[in-house]
Formats: sequence, C-alpha cells, structure tokens
Amino acid sequence: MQNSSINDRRQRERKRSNKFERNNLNRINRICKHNYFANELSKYKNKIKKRLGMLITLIGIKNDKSRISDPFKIDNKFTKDSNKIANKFCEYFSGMGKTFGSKMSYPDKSFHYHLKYTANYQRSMFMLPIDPEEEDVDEFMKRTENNESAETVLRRLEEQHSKYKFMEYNLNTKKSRLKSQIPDIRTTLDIVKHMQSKKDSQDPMQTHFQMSDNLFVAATVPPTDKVCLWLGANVMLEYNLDDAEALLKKNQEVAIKSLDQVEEDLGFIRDQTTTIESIEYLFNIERFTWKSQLVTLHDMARVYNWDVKRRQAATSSQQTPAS
Amino acid sequence: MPGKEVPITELGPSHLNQLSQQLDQEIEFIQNSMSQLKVVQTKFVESRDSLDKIIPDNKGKEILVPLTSSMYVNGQLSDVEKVLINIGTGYYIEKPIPEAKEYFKRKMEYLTTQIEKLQPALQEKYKMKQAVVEMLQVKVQAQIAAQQQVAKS
Repeated sequence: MQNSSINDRRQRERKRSNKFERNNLNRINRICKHNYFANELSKYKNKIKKRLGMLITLIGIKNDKSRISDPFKIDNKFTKDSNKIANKFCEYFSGMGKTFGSKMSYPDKSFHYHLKYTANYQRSMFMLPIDPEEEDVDEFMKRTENNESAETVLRRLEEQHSKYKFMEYNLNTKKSRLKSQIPDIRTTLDIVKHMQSKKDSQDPMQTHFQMSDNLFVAATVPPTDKVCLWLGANVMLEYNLDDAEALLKKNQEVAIKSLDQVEEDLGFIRDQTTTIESIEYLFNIERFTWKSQLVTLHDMARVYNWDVKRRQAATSSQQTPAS
Repeated sequence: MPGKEVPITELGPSHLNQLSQQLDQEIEFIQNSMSQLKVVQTKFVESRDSLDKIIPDNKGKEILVPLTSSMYVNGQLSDVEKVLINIGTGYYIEKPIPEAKEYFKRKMEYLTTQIEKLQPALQEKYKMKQAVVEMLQVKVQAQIAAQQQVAKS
C-alpha cells in the first residue's frame, strides 16, 4: 500500500516535472507529424513530384544550391559573402580586356621573323618554308620525311602552296582594311585639333552633318572639350579633347605599323609561292627525263644554273663514249 | 521566236548551248541592275523617312553630331527649315523640307518606273532561255537515239 502511495506520489511528481512535460510534448509532436505526413503522402499517391517534395521535407534535406561551399579569398581575407564574391567577379571580367590589353606587348616583328627563329619551326609541318640555306639536294632527299620519293615532296609542296595562297588572301583583306582606316583616323585627328582651337573662343560651330546617304542637316556645336569616340563593337566612349587626341594618335601609329608588317609578310609569302611554283613547274618538266631527284631552290636562277650544269654533264657523258 | 532570224529548231546542239549561255549572262546582268536600282531606292526611302524627324518641334534639341565616321560631339539641331541634298557629281542643293520630301518622292517614282521597264525584258529573256534549253534537250535526245540506231544496225 505504501509503495503504491509512494509510487503515486512519484508519479504525480513526475507528471509535474518539466522533463515529463517535455517528453509528453515531444510525443504529441511526433504523433502529429506522423499523422500529417501520412495524410499528405496518402493524398499524393499519384503525384510523384509532390510526394517527393513531402519526403524531402520529412527527411529534412536542404537542397541549398546557392550555398557557397568553400570560402573565397578577397583582399587577403577569406569570405563567403555572396555579394562581395559577385562584385569581385564582376570587377575582374569587366576589367579583363583592359588588363590583358596592357599586358600584351605589341609584336613589332613580323611572323616571318618568328618563323625563322622559333625553336619549333624546323619540325612544324604547317609552316615549313623552303630554307634558302639548304644546298645539298641529296641530303635533302635522304631526309626520312622525304623518303627518297619525289612524289611525297611534291605533294607536301602543293599543300604548302595552297596554305600560302590562303594566307595571302587573308593578308590582302587585312591590308585593304588598314588602308581604309588610316585616312579616317587622320581626318578625325584633324577635326579634334580644330575643335581644340575653337574651344577657347566662345562662339558655337556651325556644321552640316550627314543624316543619310544623300541628306545633310545643319547643326550648331557649342564649344566643348568633350568628344565621343566610336571604338567599335557597339562601344562609344566620351573623352576629353586631349585624351581623344592621344588615343587617335596611338591608333594611327598602330595602324601604320600593322600595315608595314602586313606588307612585309605579304612579300615573304610571295617569295615562297614563287619558289614553290617554280619547283613544281620545273619538276613537271624534268620528271620524265630525270629520276626522282628534287631540287631545293632558293630562286629561279639557281634552278636554271643547276639545270644547265646537269645538261652539260649529260651531254659530256654522252659525248665521251662516242669520242 | 520573235527577233530571231533562224528558228531555233534549225540550230545544232552546240549553237543552242552557246545561245543559252549568252541568255544566261544577259539575265544575270539585268538582275544585277535591278537589284542595284532597288538598293538606291531604299536609300531614298531612308532619307525621306529621316526627314520626318526634322520638325519644328525638334529645333534646338540636343543631338550627338557625327563629325566623322567614328567621332561624335554634343550639339543642337539648328535649322529645321532647310536641308542639303546631294544630287550627285559633287553638287549639293539647299531646299526647304517639304520640297526636299518632294524631291525624294520624285526620285523614288523615277526609279520604280525604271525597274518596271526592266521587268518585261527580264521575263522575255527568261522565256527565250527556257525555249532554247528545251530545244537543246530535244536535240540531244534525238542525237542519242540516232547513235543507238546506228549502233544497232
């Protein structure tokens, strides 16, 4: 009896204790959740997606794709702040062109120079120019890639020939483009200089500008030191007169330099094409009378001389048995 | 066939070939000229449309004035009464806006009439070429048949 009364008291104490209440609450919570989810899941028996969604909430998986897993280092500080990270990326990408442009050194040598002195050109199949220093025909033929067969060499030469032709076409287009650009830049520079002189006077400039192919309209331009320059690729920037002048001068220099380089490269390509064409022509003539020997040529004169010598040797060898 | 001294039925296949090539060239030429005329016509249409923007309301408004093909400056539209028209060979004429619109309209109509004149010529040439090609096919088939006959006999 007393045990039971003690038990009762204990039970009552337990009942009132926090733990007991908490456990009770949790149990009720669990039962509620169970009922709710069972209910929902039975509702979405045929709707798989919703069922899956329910399961996910049930299990508690957080598909937080926007969470950044590793911290980024910005300004020597590790941070996961998405705003800062985004800003830094934006800064980098928008400034990319400028930083790369300033780092790139302008090549002041034509590709011919690089071709001759870069390490790989000897083995490069793409651009193997006819080396003017090569004299020995036999040695040239003996090289494994030539395989002592005139056919392969000829084929390779034809390949090179077409490549050179293609390059020549490209260079020609480049040249005509540059040639049209240079006078444009010159006129723009002149106008900038004129505006500079007008800047200090107070009266506005009267001009007619081209509105369409055969239509011009009058406009006034008040003295200002700001001009907008069209840089291409749908980009137009406003500059001060001095900055504009500096930029245009630099563009002009670059254009003239490029033009010179293109001319040089074109000359080189023309030499090579002439060489190759002369080889092919002579080879086609000599083909039937001379077994597979191919001449490495520097220019037409050398070929002709070689040919003359050969004929002399042939005739003398014919004559000696006769005499 | 109109305008032919010898009916094409009497021409041999090689002649017919030549003729069809010649007609081809002429057709191409006419088509080229027509497209060029159309290009010029669209330019006039453009100029006329841009004239619509120059109305008295816009006087003094801020515009970006192109000084060269790559340089623009802030400025104001000064004259909304008269414009300069390039009539070719280095001559420019100043006209008030309604008259300028008239000018462009006249030019456009002139071009349209020219294009329309070309159309029937083009069609005629096309028809002639069709006839020639047909005749050529017939002749070639006849030749093949004749050869087969000879081979059989």
